[in-house]
Amino acid sequence: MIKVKAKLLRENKVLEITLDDNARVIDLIHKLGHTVEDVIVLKDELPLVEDDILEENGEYIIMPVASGG
Amino acid sequence: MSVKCSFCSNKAITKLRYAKLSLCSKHFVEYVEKRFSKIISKNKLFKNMDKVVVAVSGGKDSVTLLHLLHKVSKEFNFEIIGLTIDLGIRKYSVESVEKALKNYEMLNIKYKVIELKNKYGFSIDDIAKYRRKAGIKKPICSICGTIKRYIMNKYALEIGANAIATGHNLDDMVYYIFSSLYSGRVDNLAKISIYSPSEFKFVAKVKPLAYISEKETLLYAMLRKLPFNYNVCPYARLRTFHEYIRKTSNVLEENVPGLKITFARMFLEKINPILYSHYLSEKKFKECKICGMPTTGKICSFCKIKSAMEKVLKK
Ligand SMILES: [Zn+2]
Ligand SMILES: [Zn+2]
Repeated sequence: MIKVKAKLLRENKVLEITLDDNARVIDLIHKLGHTVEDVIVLKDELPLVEDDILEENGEYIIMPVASGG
Repeated sequence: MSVKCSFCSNKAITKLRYAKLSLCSKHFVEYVEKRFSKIISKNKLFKNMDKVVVAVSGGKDSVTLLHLLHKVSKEFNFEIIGLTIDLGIRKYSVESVEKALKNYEMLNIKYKVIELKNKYGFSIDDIAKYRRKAGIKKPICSICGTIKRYIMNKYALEIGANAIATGHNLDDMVYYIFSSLYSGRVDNLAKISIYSPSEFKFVAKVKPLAYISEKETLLYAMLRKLPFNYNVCPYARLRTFHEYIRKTSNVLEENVPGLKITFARMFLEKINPILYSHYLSEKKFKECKICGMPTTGKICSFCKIKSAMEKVLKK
């Protein structure tokens, strides 16, 4: 198992999430109750692809796409 | 391990599942620009137009639209005039207008800001507060939509523009189609189009982002480091039905990549033209007795809102 930090941009909250080894960005997205179309996941200010593998203790920013405008 | 771009050796920053492509930042920006230009050519969106009003709220969609249109405006030979409406929604409007202006200045585009409160005596915050007292039954987002459409059309008409371009994206189209089907509003369905020609005193309307998703417009604005207001309108939270539809269509899209584009395209290309011809023969527009803008009744819906608000605000 690995642990990552997910910073929820709109809620201004940081969650500690535990996922399987070799978990991918898409697993994190699903764990947070989203789909790949709902959010952009950033690491070090760069967007990630859903197939990228997560890093142990990595910090990920979760940016919701919807603006409701 | 990270995914590489389909066109070069750089790391991909997004995967466009509907196109079976993974793209780096540079190739994503190029891809969106090419698709945008293709959508315009294919739908002949700016044919014989020399002046186009672009409605820029300052959010990601309209800012992306402005930059994409600015890029193609020489090729398609039209002038852009930016229009920003200051709706008077607390801090949200202040930041939105500020971001819109930054983009106009970046691109050296002529623009106009219309302040709702200043010009018409009430703001969206006033509507939120006094709507019930004023006897206005429609939800706030729908009132706001009526107001924006009225102001955009009036301004475009005044300056003799050929069209109004708005930042409605693929997700907006999917929602409009679904909700109009759901509520059986055939006349609404007939109006959902990527290009609505001018008629009576309505200036033509163009939605060049109709096939570009919300995630793509956000990515484009972010990767190009464009200034935009990322905050959500404080009143949008009330739209729970909208949120369910958006979420559900994204679940479908994840399982059936390309579903949203196909759904919108099939509706816009195959179903809408049939409904549109029917709708055209039914509607008869007249001039509003108060302002002279088009309406099907005696007084247009904007003037109704305005006079209801005047009564309440005078007290
Ligand atoms: Zn590339
Ligand atoms: Zn009127």
